[in-house]
Parts: sequence; structure tokens; C-alpha cells
Amino acid sequence: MSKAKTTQEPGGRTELTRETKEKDTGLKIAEAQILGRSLAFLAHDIQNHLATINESAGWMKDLLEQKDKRGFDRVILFFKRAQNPDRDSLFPGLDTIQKQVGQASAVTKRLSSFAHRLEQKKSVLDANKVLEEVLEVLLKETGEKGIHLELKQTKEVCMIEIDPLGFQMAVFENMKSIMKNLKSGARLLLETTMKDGEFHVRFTDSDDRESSNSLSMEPDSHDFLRYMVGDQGGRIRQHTGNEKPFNTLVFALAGG
Amino acid sequence: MKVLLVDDEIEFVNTLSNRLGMRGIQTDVVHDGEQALEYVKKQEPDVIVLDLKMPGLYGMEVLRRLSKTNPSIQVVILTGHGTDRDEQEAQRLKAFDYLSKPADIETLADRIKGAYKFKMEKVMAAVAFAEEGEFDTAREIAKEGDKLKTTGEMFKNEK
Repeated sequence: MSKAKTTQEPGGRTELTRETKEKDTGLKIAEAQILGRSLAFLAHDIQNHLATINESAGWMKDLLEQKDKRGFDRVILFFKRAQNPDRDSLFPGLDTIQKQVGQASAVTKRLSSFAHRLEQKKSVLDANKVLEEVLEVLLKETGEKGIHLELKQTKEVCMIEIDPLGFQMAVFENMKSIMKNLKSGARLLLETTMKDGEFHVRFTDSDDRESSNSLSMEPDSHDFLRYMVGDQGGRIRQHTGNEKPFNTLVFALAGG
Repeated sequence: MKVLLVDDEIEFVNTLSNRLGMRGIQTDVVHDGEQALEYVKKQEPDVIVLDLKMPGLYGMEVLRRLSKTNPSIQVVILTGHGTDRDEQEAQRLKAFDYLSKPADIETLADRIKGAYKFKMEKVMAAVAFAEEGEFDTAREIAKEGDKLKTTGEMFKNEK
């Protein structure tokens, strides 16, 4: 969570500067928005699986009711047939239900792991793992915008000391500002590396089209993001040289 | 009655189509907003059952475009992601109804039939006014349907 920076006044009283207060309020609002959005996406996912389960169960019920309507003779015939069409019709429904339950369960596991992360205050965590969790939540959103998300992770274990929500928020905010400028069909590549005792998350628009401004940010949002990442002990680097523009979030490795 | 189902959840929408078929409502299925608009260009359905959150073009944007280009198509929103704001917006864009997933199949079938009945009433009313020579009123009804919207509301409660 956000940690207010303080200034010492001559009288010895510690007081928050107005700017810091405003930024901290901004962080809290952003935290609430990100949480709300993530939960809404996960809830939507679960709702969709439930809807499919509901339809599949309903479809099987419809088939059985239809069989009842055909009369007793048909029911006898139904049981006499070694290969009856009703059996063939019912199995796909059961398969769908099982599949959907499995997928809904994967979403609730994701939700549970996401929620538990939020309980944690600043702690030493595997940055790649936390990043994966954020992206799983974001995957649906990028998919709906027609943006293809790619993640290339370093195989090294990168432990960083972070507040999980703050880290997730920094990634969210960075992605949000980038996605604003990307068109449907674009590819966004996230690459993690470990270099000089630091963990780097590099965001590159891997779209083949001309997109020199896709990773540029509004000055306000850049300033806010810088503050947000700084609050986590990290920093943001924007590169707009000759090669494709990119943003990198940089965090110091724990004990590094 | 020509009904189009628009939803990116393929298993869901195919099963829904089968179940509606068993209730005498034949449907065509497409899986995103662009496909829906393409379909409408080729053959105008009477009723569209529309999901909101889909890849590419959002359902609300499809509704917005249809309300301008094909106002006579009746749209029933069927979503798992509905917010109060979405519902208000759908109402403002004159969607016939707004249902949340998972919806009861009989309720959905009733709403589709109600939407179709509403559309037919509107067409018949427009024709009747046109026959009387009241072309402005006929045009108004065909375009907006506001005067008959209350009739549509009545269908919604008919169960």
C-alpha cells in the first residue's frame, strides 16, 4: 500500500506535504479502481462459466423431458437400444459441464491467490510469479481490446521486496497507459530480465506497423506512474531512441 | 421470426440456440460484434439477443450502431457483466429488454417472442396509419416506435 513521505518542519512537527497527500490519495483511488476492475473481470468469467453450465444442464433436461413426452413405448425402446441417440446427445452436455466446472474452478483459484496476495504487506516475492498473476487478470481485458499479449520471462528466480498490490498496480497502470495508444490487432510484449541486481520488466509494442508513439505517455500519467513505481522502491525508464520505443519498470532485487 | 444470437462464448451460445430451437425459435449464431453487423447488412433479423462483453466491438457499440441504422430490430441484452450504467445505457438506446446470465430459458424465450410481437405491432400500426394517409405518423412510428413502447413494456410482463 502507499506509504506517505514526510517532511520535518522546523518546530519538529512532521507533516505531509500537500503534493504527497494528493499523490497518496491518487494512489488509494487507483488501488480501489484496479481492485474493482480485477474483481469485475474475474466475476464476469465465473458468471460466463455458470451460464454455460446452466445451459448444458438445461439442454440435457430438455432432452430427457422430450424423451418422456414420446411415451412409454419409446422409453422401452430407449433402454433396449445398445446405442441410443439420447445417450449420444447427453454425453457432450456432461463433458461441457465438467469442462466448465474445471475452468470456473481455475478462475476461483486465481481469484483466491489474487486476494491472498492483497492481504500481504511488503514482503519478498517471486516477481515473475506475481507478474503472471497480474497478466492472467489482464489477459481477458487485452483480448477484448484485440491486443495480443506476450510474456517472455527470465528463467532466473527474481525475488524482490514489494507490496504485491503496489506492484500489480504499477504494472496495471503502465499497461493501461500503453493500451490507450494501441489499436486492435497490436501485440504487446513483456520481457523480464535480471541485470545488475535488478529485476526489469520491459514493455515493447511488437506490432509491425509504424507505432512510434504507442508507448509514449501523457505527462500527468507518466508523473503519477513514476510516483507509484517509486513508492515500491522501483523506477521507470522510457526509451525512445532509434530502436523501437519501450518502457521498463525496474525493481531492486531483495538483498541485492 | 428471424432471431440472431451474438455471443463469444461458443459452447454457451450453441447450446442456447439448440434449446431455443426446441421451443420453436430458430436462431442463427455469430460470435462477435463485427460479425453481427455484417449479418445485419445481409439479412435483417427481427430480434437480436446480444452479449455486451465481447472481443473487438462491444455489444453496447453494436446496439448504438443498430439504433441508428436498423431501429426496427429489437434487441434483448443478455450479459454476465451487466452494470447499472450498462442497463441505463441499453434503455436509453431503446433495447427491448436487459437480462443477466444465467437466464431462465423460458423467460428468454418469452422476451424474444415479446420483442417480435412488439416489432410486428409497430409495423402493423405504421401500415394502418399509412393506409389512412397519415404518413408522418406512420413514419414516426416506424422510426421511433415510442408511442408503442408502452405496448412493448406490456409484453415484457406477459408470462
